[in-house]
Amino acid sequence: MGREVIVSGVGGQGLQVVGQLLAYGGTIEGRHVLYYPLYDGLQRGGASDCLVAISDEDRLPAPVLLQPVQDLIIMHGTRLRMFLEWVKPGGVIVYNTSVQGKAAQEGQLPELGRGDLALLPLPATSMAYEKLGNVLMACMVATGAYIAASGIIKMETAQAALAKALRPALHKHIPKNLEALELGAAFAQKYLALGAS
Amino acid sequence: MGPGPVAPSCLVGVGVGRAAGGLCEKGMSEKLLMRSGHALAEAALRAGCKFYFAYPMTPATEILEYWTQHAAAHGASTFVAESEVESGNYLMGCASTGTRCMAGSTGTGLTLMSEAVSRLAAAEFPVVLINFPRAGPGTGIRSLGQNDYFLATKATGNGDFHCITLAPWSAQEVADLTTAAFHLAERFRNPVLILGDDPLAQMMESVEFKRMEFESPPPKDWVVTGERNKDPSRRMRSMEGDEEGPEAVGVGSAGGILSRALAQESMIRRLYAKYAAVPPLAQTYQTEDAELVVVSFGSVARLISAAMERARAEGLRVGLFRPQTLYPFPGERLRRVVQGKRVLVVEANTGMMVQDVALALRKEPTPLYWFGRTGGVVPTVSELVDEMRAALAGQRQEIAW
Repeated sequence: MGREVIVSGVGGQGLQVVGQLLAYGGTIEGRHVLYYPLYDGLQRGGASDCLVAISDEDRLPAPVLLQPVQDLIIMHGTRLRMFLEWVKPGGVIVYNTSVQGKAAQEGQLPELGRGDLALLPLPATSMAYEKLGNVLMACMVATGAYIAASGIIKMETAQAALAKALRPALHKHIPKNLEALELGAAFAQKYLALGAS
Repeated sequence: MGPGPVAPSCLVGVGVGRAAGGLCEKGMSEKLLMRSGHALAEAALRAGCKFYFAYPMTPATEILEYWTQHAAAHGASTFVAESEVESGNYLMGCASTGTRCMAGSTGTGLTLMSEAVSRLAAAEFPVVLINFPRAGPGTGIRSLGQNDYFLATKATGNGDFHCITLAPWSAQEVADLTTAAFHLAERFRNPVLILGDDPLAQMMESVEFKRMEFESPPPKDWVVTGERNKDPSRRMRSMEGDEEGPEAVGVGSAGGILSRALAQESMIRRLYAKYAAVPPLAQTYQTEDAELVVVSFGSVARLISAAMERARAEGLRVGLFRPQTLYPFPGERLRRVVQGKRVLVVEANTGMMVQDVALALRKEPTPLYWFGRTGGVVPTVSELVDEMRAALAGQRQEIAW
């Protein structure tokens, strides 16, 4: 079985790096991988999404952007409503509660009306700023949480894939990115354990 | 030039059914994750293509982008043209020397190249053309569109000729078919066009560059070398007449027109005799037990394969027939596959390939249905399953030839 995830937010958050990290990870694991970016030709702040599909079967994954998928990583509140209806029952949604648009408060989720999903709200941007000193690490925090919650690829593979997903000039930031992945994963494990008990 | 089959070793294992044995074996960590456009450029460089003529235009820009960065390492050159009109004509000059070369753009750019493409076909120059089209007429938008089917298969330029048209559906197949395209072009001395689509241009997938074996191409005894009067067969001649020049056949006279028309007719017939020798290629998946065979190409076929998974889980026996060459269209193969089954053509336009399918099946009692979205709308897997269900139940109007 495979999984598909839509990573969505606004340009400049590092969403395409997340997509490529998962895709390179899938490639390292020897699985079929499809990464399909979709972003407006706009300035920083425009819509930016991508689809990553990883499968283990003989069938190549399909470019099913804007169609029901398994999981969502939402980095900006404005994108949640748009993609919510596309998530299949049983899917995982990792949702950045720090950036919700104008009205919502930090840490609070809007009423989603979907009880059939595993929701993982995490204040990714706040965590990145407070614990790692860099808001740009928010995406990597959310990715760590998503990998821990979904198991789409192994955490070790994601760590190894960082060197491929980040261009050489950014390799000096790999230790910080590793920290961010761990921070997110630890949050997810704690959250899911609380939910289970 | 023998019409023997082009060794299609590269084309084995590129589809769903054969994927496990071909390009998708487990433990493929040596494989690269690449955009199709980048894979295309890399495959062309490895195939010995020395010039890529292009003007940047999304979604074909990735090819130029990769080419610019990597050409020098392969002893190749980048040539950013002033427009696609120039791309086509640079191609003409370059191909006349026998140098492997290619030009690419979106459908918008291909139409600008069409004058040169027509001349390339008339001159029997082996070149590779790329069309990664946009959706819709005019400027179009960046989304899934197979609206350039007719442009690619039937009307790439004025006159009476065709490009051999290849339709890959994955980054791996883009790489494989690009390699094959240079061999096909030289073997049949005809332009070969690779028709992609926007998802294909955008996606990154795992790609492996395999060594492929082909029969040696016929000798390039026709190329111009720049050596004056050395070899009379290597001369650029006017298409108006033979070696004696236009005067000898009496340009302007009735007899002259007849003589030129006859000469041109035999030239065109020779082109079509070559086309008849090009092996049409297609892949089938789960067609053996299918009650319904879906005919689809490119990214739409990828969506069909996802829809089939769901349809089969519902108990609907659906198979896929995927043409890899759109011209020549694999009609004979299709006829054999669909015996006693229903056929549903799905494409991202208002009904283009369905004409070739209807022509191929005109004498068959097979019920034929069609479904498509256009203008850049991507059909959803759910609606594709609905169409499959409706076709199986005979709830849609049949396409009549």
